[in-house]
Amino acid sequence: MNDAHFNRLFALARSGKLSRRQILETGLRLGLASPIIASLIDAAPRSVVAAPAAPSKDPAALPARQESSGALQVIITSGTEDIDPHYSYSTLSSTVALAVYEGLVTLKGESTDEFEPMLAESWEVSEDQSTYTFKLYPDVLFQDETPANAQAVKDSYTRWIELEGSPVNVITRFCDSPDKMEVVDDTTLRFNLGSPQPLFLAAMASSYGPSVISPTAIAENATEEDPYAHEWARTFAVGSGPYILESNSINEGLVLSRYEGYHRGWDGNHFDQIIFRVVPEDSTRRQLLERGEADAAAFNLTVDAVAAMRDNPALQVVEYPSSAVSWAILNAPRLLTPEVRQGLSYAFPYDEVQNVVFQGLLQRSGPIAEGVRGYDPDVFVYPTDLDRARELVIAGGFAEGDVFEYMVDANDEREQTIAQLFQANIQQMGFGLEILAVDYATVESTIFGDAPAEEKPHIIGGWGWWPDYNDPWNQLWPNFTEANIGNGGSNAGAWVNPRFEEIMAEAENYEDEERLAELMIEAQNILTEQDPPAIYYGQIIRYTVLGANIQGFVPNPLYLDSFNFYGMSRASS
Amino acid sequence: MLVRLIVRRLLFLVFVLFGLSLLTFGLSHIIPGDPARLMAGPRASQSTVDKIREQYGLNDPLPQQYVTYVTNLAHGDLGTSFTTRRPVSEDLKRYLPATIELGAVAFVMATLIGIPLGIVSSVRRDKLPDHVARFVSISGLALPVFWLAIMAQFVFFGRLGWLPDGARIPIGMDAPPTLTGMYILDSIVARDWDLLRTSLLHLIMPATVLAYGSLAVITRMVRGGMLEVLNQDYIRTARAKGISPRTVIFGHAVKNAMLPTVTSLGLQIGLLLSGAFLVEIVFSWPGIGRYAVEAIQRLDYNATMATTLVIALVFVLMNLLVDILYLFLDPRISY
Repeated sequence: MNDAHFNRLFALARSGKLSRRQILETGLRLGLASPIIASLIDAAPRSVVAAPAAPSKDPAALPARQESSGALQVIITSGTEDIDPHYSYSTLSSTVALAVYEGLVTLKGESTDEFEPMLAESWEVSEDQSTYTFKLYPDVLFQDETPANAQAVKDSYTRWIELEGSPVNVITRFCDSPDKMEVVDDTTLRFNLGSPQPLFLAAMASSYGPSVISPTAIAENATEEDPYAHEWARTFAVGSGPYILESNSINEGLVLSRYEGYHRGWDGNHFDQIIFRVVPEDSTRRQLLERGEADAAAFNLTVDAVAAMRDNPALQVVEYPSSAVSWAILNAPRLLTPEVRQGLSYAFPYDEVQNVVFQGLLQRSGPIAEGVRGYDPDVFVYPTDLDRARELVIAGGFAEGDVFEYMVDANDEREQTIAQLFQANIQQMGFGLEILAVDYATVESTIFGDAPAEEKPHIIGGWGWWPDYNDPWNQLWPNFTEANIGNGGSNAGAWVNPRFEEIMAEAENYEDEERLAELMIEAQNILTEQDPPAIYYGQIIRYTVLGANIQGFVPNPLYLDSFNFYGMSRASS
Repeated sequence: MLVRLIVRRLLFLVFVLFGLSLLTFGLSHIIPGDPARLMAGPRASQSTVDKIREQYGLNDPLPQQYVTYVTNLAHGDLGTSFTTRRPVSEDLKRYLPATIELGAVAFVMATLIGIPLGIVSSVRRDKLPDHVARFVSISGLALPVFWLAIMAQFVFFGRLGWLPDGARIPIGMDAPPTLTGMYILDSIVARDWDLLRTSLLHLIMPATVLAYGSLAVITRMVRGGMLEVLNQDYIRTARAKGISPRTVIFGHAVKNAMLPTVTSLGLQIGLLLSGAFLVEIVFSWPGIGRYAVEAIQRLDYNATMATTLVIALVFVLMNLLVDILYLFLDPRISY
């Protein structure tokens, strides 16, 4: 079709003499040409948009170093209203805390039970594990240039205890009073815990709480109404970590820049800036990564996107078994007997959930994840067996045609799919499953609320947990003990097992690892085969997607969705 | 007459806002859920949750909470957001300009394209321009805005790379000194032409997507109005008298055809604000829409109420403006 033809068509169109046949013919040609147009779009020049982030502090303007990796762009789904590590319990605030602050120790690489220095260069543990003495690096300064010494650590941890924020139990389980912290000298801090506490180091390496905040910054921002300067620490941060918080906006993101005075120095290749950008839409996050305009994303993409990215040479998908386990809560009083709960466990579509819904990002487990202390490699895992399931549900007191209620978050497509697959199995057994898709706030208030079990659904899907530190008690106690029925606890199934209560009481203050292992084997058997309070989907495989040129990332099963920013860099092309 | 109209409407506005506040308060509290628990997170102890509940007055009986809210509102205090933990008024100052900027540019685009398109469509009825205009208007009405947003982003950012994916400016880039909070105006005032270029580049895609639906409505309204007017006797008479087609259309037809369009324009401004909710999510636009969505999800009552009241306020004020414009467009109208 040449120009003359077009001109004639336009002339006819403008004069109103375009016939119906001509309109149809032209429309058909346009339709047939659409693949060509699409190809032209595909072949059109790309990337005229300027590269993102002209940083407020130009990295080139910062003092020169051997190598620089520029800025690392991390995409997140939303910001956080509170980054105070002594108050907040969110994954993002932990991620930021691990970059801006330091604790005494941290977990070593991918290990869940080995530690390496942070502020403490060494530590000694008394024979009975009741006294821990930390020797701090000398002359370390906070980002406000005040000393990060033993007194500063004690002051900061006193704030952690007295502020009584969300992660306070991480310390008060072992050290409930500042009096138990003794400043021996400027670089020596001793914890006199009063009883053997084999988990104290693990707790001190948690990503929830043990960050040391500059006491001077806290004092400067404290007010009469807010003596711990929580209002300030929600948005701002002064630690001794490798990066300084430059800006923080809940709707836009956070910018961190390297702290020149960081005590480990900046030799070698490191990032100058870490930029967290809020991108709420799934498809946008995927496009940013695929176009190379973002460098990293942790566990915030769809499973389809992750599957596609595995084959993308411009990206690397780092997958690792996390300490998190997912399950559906079973309402014990409404499900009458252990047989019914066993039956429902047999009815669950494990293979479809593992392979189709999670697309392999799940490995079968009981309530404790592999890698967490006390994990039983021989834990009983239910197969899907609908005949056995039916038999048990009927033996447990239900009759054919009875309907179970299954509550899920209406905004969680994955959980809704799981509910539908489960519904199909339940129907095949001759029962019914009514899916109650509600707002997440309703799910959470049902779980934590004080309503009696009779008013809650038979099953609540999409729940799960991971421990604050490497400890099975910390994983099981909040979810399955009598003390956590109502009153803000998450034993929403009101499940009580006297023997399990005894095990938990002993495990809380255990002194001997072997005894703990024995207890946990028994506990996991009760929680699965004998008297299940939940249907365990399995242990979640977390993933972090990085640009192919990002190196040095080491995931840790207990530091979910976090990054070891200081150890990461961009490979020079 | 004009003053009486304004006073009457503003009095009416008080009742509208009161009714709306009652409705929004009731509806947002019907949703079962505990905002204190959502704020504290699932791992928080009950004592932390209780402390937050106490701090934000969530333990008070509902009627008392409402009375406190309305009393504070009367004093200009919109309360504290549970999400950002800042005064809601401060949040509105921060996020509203972004939405106003987006909505204003979308409105200008929709009007500047929609009105001429509607006129051309009616004058060239059943000819190619009319077919194009009808295609534009039907697709604008039929295509859901979130789908259009995702598709536009996929093509112009993901495939072609011609436009940024979203956000007002790249994170890390310094915003202009705040005067209005609207980056285009503020960067012009600051004579920061690079920033102006960046802001405009970031605005093109979300504003176009947001404008598309309104453009469709405006085009249809103008076309419909024009077709009706063009069949009137006085137009035929004007033509018979040999008046030039341009004068007939622009001097006689357009003005008379604009009345229903003006009504629609007023409503479009309100709709653009509420339509911005979805567009802001897709394009990571830090405006009041995203703020409201997060507020709703987190049971942030104060922020939800405030955003609802702001949008209602805009609707009512726009209707008032339309009514005032009527007086000028058609002197026969009286209130």
